[in-house]
Amino acid sequence: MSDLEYAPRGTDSVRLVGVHASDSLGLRGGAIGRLRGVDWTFGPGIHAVVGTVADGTAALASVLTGELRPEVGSCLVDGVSPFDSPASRRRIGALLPKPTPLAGSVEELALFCAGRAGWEALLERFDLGALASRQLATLALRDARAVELALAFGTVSPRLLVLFEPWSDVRGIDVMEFRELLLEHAATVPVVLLTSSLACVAPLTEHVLFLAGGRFAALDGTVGWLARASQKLNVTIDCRSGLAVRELAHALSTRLPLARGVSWEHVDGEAPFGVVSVVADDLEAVALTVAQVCQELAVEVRSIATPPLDREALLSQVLRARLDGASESEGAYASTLRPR
Amino acid sequence: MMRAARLGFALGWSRLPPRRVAVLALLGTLASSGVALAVRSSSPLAAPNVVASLVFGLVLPLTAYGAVSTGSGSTDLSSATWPAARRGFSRRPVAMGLALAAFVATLAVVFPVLLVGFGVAYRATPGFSKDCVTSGGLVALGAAAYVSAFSLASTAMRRGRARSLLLCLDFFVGAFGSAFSLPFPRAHLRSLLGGEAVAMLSQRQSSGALLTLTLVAFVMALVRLRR
Repeated sequence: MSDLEYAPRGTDSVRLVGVHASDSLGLRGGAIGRLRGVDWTFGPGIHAVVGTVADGTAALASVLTGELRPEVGSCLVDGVSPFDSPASRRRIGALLPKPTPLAGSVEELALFCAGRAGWEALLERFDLGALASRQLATLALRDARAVELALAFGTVSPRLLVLFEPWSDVRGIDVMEFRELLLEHAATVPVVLLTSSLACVAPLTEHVLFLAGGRFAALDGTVGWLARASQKLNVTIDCRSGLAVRELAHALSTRLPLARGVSWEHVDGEAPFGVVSVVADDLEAVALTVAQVCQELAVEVRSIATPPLDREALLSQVLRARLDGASESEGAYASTLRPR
Repeated sequence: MMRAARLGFALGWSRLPPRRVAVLALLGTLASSGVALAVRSSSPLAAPNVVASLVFGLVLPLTAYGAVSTGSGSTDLSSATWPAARRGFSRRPVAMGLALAAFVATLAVVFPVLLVGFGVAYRATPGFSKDCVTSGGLVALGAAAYVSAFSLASTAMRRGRARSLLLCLDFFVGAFGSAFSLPFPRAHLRSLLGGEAVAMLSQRQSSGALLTLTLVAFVMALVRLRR
């Protein structure tokens, strides 16, 4: 059982209680990822679950869609177990790790899923009209996933949308349109995005859940809180030799007494550049000082940015925050969590 | 329900490529006719029996096993029905369709093997057509029994690995006439072909047992499979 619990709200329609389950994506049907006692209750909105398949994201997708029955615990969508209810499964739109082609053509399946009125518009909206006559079993992986994504959005009266890595191996996905569709659905339907990349979900949702080793390491940490957890700023400047970048690093180390560390690197090539990395708690103050110092030294700045967060860095930050009791002091975090 | 069953049949059939079925039938036909030729040269009267033993003892169980495994996508029955189940179809009628596809594929392989084998074994000897009709009925009954039993086994163990266990048990335990052999189709088929009786059952009773086995295994498979 996780030691943090998402506070249920009146509109919550999906409930997982003590779920243990394994996927079957390994060699000879063995498990790669397992869920080890997941408790999660949620309602309409976009909920991003960040983790790898080994952390149990695929198993979570399978349990939510009714492909797998939890070995222990229960999963209910609107009070019904999707594993046991065909009607419930039909109203769950899903993009799963592996395409599950039926016999028949794309057109036939779209007609069945989206109804006579909407199937053509659905395929056109996802630019899949050319695939309409193709047999599902003959589609390439990217096309098959694109069709499944379109059908997930075309689900009639959906109760839940489960999208596993919707940004990878999907043909011709229009990011803006995808975002619009997600927001449109999220107003009334719980949407679960399962991904290993926080960068993909960060602009979409403030509900980020962190799945590590089959358990939620942190629930509902806001993206802002997680983004601050990187605590690192990279300043990239144009410089022909390592001298300018060394000068900048020196100036920053003296002007930023609260910085936890300053490092530099010079990269030769056709357009040589240098990168100074500053690790500090208050990155906004650091950014201002950096801008001032760059102006004083008259260096040409290419960019000042926080590096993209990787999963390991995030996990270590979350765990450290929990060990330090920092989660209690984070307002947004504490407001939706209660320690058990 | 009919729609789900049709979908299950189409799903199972799409996993059983016709080319593979044809190649298997061809290989089986070559094997049975080769054996028939070899035996006929030494003892012409024994040739049909040897062909029947080959078909019912080896070709039929292996083909049924292969058809159920391939039709299920080499996984358990619940996962095999998932492509249709996720679209809101009940798993049970889809599984019925899958089993029917496996049954048809088994007949498509075993019937030609039997007919060609008997054709070569009998050649000018009388009795070909009568034996074909009798054995053809037995092939249909045996195929149904094996497909049901393997379908039930597909609901047990990870990825339906109990299928392989059942195949082994059928070969080793079903080869005898003891009471332990009662649940295995091989024992009853051997009895119906004129071999040792199973637990003192008459041939008529063995036919009934085979039919009961088929129905019980099939119903149990559907019961074990959730909606």
